[in-house]
Amino acid sequence: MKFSEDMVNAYADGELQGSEKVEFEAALINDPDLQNALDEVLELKAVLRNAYQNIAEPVQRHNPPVSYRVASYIGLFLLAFSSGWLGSNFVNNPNIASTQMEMAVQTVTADSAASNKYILHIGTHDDEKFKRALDEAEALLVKHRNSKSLIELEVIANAGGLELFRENATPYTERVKYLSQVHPNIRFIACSNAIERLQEKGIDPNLIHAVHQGPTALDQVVMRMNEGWSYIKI
Amino acid sequence: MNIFKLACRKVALVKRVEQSRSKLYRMAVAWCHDPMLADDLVQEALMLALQKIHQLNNDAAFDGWIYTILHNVWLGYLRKSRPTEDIDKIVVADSASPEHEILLQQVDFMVRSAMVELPNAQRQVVSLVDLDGLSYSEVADILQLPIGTVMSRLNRARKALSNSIIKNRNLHKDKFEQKKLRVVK
Repeated sequence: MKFSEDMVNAYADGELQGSEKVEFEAALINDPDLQNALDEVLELKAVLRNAYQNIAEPVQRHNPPVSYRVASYIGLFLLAFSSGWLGSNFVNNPNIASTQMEMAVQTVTADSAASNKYILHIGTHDDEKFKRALDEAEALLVKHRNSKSLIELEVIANAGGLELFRENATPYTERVKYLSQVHPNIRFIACSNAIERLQEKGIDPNLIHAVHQGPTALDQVVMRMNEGWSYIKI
Repeated sequence: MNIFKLACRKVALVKRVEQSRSKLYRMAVAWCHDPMLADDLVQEALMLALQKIHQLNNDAAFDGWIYTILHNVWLGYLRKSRPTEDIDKIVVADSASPEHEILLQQVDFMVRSAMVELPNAQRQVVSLVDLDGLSYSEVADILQLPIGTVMSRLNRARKALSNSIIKNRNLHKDKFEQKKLRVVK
């Protein structure tokens, strides 16, 4: 067999091109050792792919109810319509495919309507970061209150960040309670994955009363970003 | 119109990040062999991807970009959890319970067990090439390695996997034949 093992691998992986490939294929016809070597690699590739193909995908726990999503899209649609944006620019334009329309409705209305919507994410157990997250949230709320513009704000915590929302686990329990009492437009959300991790270890999450249990942090962030919210990682 | 296009692109990318979850999860399982840890790694990687989505200039490079993020999250985890070990040489701990022995007789588990025995550096290369069909140059970019190193690690990984699978097959074949002989007696 005049080809190296690296060459056999490269052929099996579709990496050989041009004359190298032609030469390799010509040799394959008369070289049983080369054929065996290639068969072994191809078989290994196949069993490896199969071994991981059927792994159960992670369950997307506690997804928001469909009605919630539908309601948010209807809201955005109505907003777009009432502002005249839909009618003036897109409804009569036959060149825009329906999927693009759908995306446009989601994006542009979301961007205009949701420019004052923020989701702050905290994923590590770090008192400095907890303080920064709460400072950032409060600064946004005060800034928009002073400018008399509407704001919606969510603070979502997962993994080590969940400590921020556990009763007496950090020095900030009272501050979280205070912010939720004073500002009705802030929501504190705990990631369902992080809660389950604690429960699996036999630990009671003991969340602060003002904190809501949400879907996974990832699902919540993706949903909000799809709605045009700004994502801020602390 | 440019703003409109940019907004549409952002929505499409967010959707693509979300849709990458399953394949990233499979890759993370192949690297760490712990479903719960894999879920956490993927969640962290996707969060980072969403945060850095504006940094992706070329949509065609999406797969490489998102695997690079997963790779960095995985390295971060290894550095934190095993600070004194050489990351490239880390082997995932395996359990040798009676159930594990039974499971080894099934090909999928046999292959996964062989993967567990590989050093981390080889396991990552072979899974990127074989599970998702990435090219050598894409793998080199993701893992920040020269292509020659990718090829040599791939070759070592495949040899080790073949040897391990053959060894397990022979072992269980012998056990099976011994059992049959006892039944005949």
